[in-house]
Amino acid sequence: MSLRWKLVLPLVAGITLLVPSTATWAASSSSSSTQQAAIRLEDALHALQIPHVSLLFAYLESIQLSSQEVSQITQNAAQMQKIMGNINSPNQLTLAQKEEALRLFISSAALAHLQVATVLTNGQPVNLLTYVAQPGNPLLIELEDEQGKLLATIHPQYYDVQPKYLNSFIHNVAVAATSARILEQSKTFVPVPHGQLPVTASNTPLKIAIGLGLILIGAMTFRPLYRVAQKLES
Amino acid sequence: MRRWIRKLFIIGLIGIPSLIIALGVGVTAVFGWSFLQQTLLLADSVLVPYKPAHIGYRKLPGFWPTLPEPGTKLGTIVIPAVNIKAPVVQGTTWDILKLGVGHYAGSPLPGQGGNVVFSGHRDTVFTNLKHVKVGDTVTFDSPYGPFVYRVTSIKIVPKTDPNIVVPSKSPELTLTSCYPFVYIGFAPDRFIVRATPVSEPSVTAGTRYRASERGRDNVKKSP
Repeated sequence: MSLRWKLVLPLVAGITLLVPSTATWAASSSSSSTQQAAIRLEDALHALQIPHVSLLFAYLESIQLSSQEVSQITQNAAQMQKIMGNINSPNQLTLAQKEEALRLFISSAALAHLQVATVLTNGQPVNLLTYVAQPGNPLLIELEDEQGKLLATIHPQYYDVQPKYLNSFIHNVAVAATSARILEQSKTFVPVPHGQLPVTASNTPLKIAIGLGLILIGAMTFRPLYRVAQKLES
Repeated sequence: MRRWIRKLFIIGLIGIPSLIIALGVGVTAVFGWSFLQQTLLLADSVLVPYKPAHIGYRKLPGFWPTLPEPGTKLGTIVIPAVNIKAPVVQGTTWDILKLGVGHYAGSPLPGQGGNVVFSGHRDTVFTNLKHVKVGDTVTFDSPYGPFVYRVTSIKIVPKTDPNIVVPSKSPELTLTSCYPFVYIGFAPDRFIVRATPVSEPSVTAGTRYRASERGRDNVKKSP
């Protein structure tokens, strides 16, 4: 074998080995960034105070967000932070500021292909422009898909509805949208990294037992009380 | 005046137990009907089946090309050894779990690889899960054909265990329910059944095929 081939062969062998390992590295790097995006998305959804994130996580991963939509959501977050920057309570916002904040919020949700419904715990719809945050008047923010199916409910407490929380809320919406776009480009389903066990307890049999117990108590007390009533009447 | 008070007292004596009985009948009827719907009448419940047709959703290759909507029926889970047969629906929220066994939306669907998580109520669809033994067969009848699994382990964990609903590299099925099965209030633990795949249908679109469990190259038509 000539000297030239002696030099070329290890080089070819090296490239042959290098190409797959580079491809593997690229794939693992891509997989790692996908995993990081999944963790960021899950953390952002938890930071939004969503107790069960799985439906929203899967939805955000599956919708096709454009880069323009993501950048607009990020811009909205920056604008919201400007509005909230100089106040201590959302109740201090002027009507114009409230309208602008609401527009940014609804716009960000729509860009993320979500519908937002704000209701009281009794299901009564709430106008956020006239809503006054106060203890004992809790607000529920329902996030629905484009078909109106409920994906998640946010339960902000009174002490949460503060500028600091709202700023973080909008920031986390932007983080979620950015992460969701990375996941959406993955060719496989990326699971929730740290899922919680679903609540599978229902108290229906207990409630039936309570109902039967009431019937029994009623029946047992009816007869003696009826006798007393008859005696009194006579 | 005294007569009037006496009459009122008599009405009260008869009325209070009558009211208690009426309340008991009402509570039993409302929750009894709900319980019947989640158990005996579950097979008759009308559910929207999965259709991969949404515009604007990412399309994946293989089974379940687009994300199922919350509450849509994905198939039926059958565990013959313990007489479990229930619809599987997308999602595990409180309302969705009333429709049958829920697929945890943050986990892959059968055939997508990884850890597939199905959850059901301990007092309705998964009541008999407590009788499952290692080696029992679990079949998930999907629109693509049957995915067959075999139970490999059973354990009880606290409800906050972070190691159950986690991604895995190898395909597996995790069934979860609350534990103890008979408990007043919200049960503190979870009953976990793990199963590994035995066979799954071919991904061939529009037809129902099943690959051999021994990894042979030939594919057989489902019976």
